[in-house]
Amino acid sequence: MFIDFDRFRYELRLMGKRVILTPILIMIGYLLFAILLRSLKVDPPRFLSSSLEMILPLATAIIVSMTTSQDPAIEVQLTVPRKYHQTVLGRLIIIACWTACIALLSSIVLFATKLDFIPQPITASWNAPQVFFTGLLTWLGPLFWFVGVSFCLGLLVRSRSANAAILSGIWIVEILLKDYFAVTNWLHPVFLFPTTLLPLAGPIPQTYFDLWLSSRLEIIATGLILLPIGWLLLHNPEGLLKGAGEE
Amino acid sequence: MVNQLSLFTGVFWYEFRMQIRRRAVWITYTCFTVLLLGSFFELAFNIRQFAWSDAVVNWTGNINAILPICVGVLLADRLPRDSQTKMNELFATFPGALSIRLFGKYLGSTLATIVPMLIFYASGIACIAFQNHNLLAIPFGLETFAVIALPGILFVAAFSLAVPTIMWIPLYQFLFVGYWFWGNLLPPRLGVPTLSATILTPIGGYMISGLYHIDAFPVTNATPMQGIASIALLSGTAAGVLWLLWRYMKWEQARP
Repeated sequence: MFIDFDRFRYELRLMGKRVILTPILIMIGYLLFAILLRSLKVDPPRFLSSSLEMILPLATAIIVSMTTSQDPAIEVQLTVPRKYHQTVLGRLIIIACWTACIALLSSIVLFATKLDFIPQPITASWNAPQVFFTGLLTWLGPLFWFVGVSFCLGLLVRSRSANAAILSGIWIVEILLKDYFAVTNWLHPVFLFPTTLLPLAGPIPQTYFDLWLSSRLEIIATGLILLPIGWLLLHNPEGLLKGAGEE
Repeated sequence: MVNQLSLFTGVFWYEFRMQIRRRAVWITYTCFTVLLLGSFFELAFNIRQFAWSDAVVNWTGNINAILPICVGVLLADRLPRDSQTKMNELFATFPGALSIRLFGKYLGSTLATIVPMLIFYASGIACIAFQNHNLLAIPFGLETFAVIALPGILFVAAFSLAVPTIMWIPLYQFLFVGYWFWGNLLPPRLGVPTLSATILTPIGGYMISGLYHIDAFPVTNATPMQGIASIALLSGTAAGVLWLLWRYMKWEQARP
């Protein structure tokens, strides 16, 4: 246990404060901007929802692509007794869990201050915990999805820049074609940001809520399925070594 | 003078070759092309609804709404790479001026990064020329690219070269994409303060509306002067950023 904790601390130091501070700084930046919006008489809940649903997952995915697909000491890593895929999985878990912690904390603050942006079926009268836990699905889905896609894509394209650009392209296309995604049934499992973009908050018809809920669950499932695929891709030392020289 | 010119051409072509041979550039544009195929087919199927010149302008606008993201993200690691590979110290011992080296790097890597973009753009222009039986679409397409897209690309490229010298690359890439949405595509009617309705938008709305008289979200009825002002502001800002970068690198070189 001590060794594991030691390893955890070492990985944290290796990734640097930047990985830890980025989600915190994003949320602080959003909070300051929300205060500005309040002073401009613009309601900030939808804006704040975008920070959790749209911004944090993208930032996390870009960080994941930077820290898991390549390692400056990959040749050494592949010779040590601890397998490289275990090291990478550890890093991935640290980054994803840290972002999830920040997002959870932010959700609690937003819920407590009634600045949340959560859909619920119009026919149901839910209690506060039910609403809160439903709200977590707004960002859990995109977070899992982006982390999973970034993990696999980084190992496939073997370029951090290409990975970041492709993720950014997906992100922008999701925003620009939101109406098309909303009305096309087969695209619902990849419609990442419906809560903020459509927008879906407060009491909504049961049909819409069911669609929203099923697409959230499908997106979480997609993200989870991609993790073992990435794990398998990590078992390719030749690919990892080639990737190190690509940039 | 001759030495500086040969240095510039040397750096320019070296940077061009280095960037255009990167797998990352071609993989990224291939994926973006797949994402934009819908836009391409929309152009191909609805082409007869517009005058050919309007179709060219719309196609340039569509391309310029998304593909500069590739330019911004793919150029972000060019200068930090020189430091990582310990080339900066070596370059500092060479007789050539830093400003020429920097300018050659900027133009060479930018041109190489937009080559795949130009290929995809040219396929759309060829489609318009073919369906309208009008070869004038080709020179007009070159003109609209130079007027609508190029100032924004130069603007984006300057920032992408400069900012990562003081910022972590993934953070810059993330902020750049966020900026692209906030400063270009966010509707001002939402009430969130944004640059998307100002002339400082690399997406080219003021050029499209002011110079070609086609409404381009979120800009409507812009004057030709506003279009020209937008071009001047974007190009001037790019030049200013490059100048600041040159001063910063000189200061960094002079540090003990």
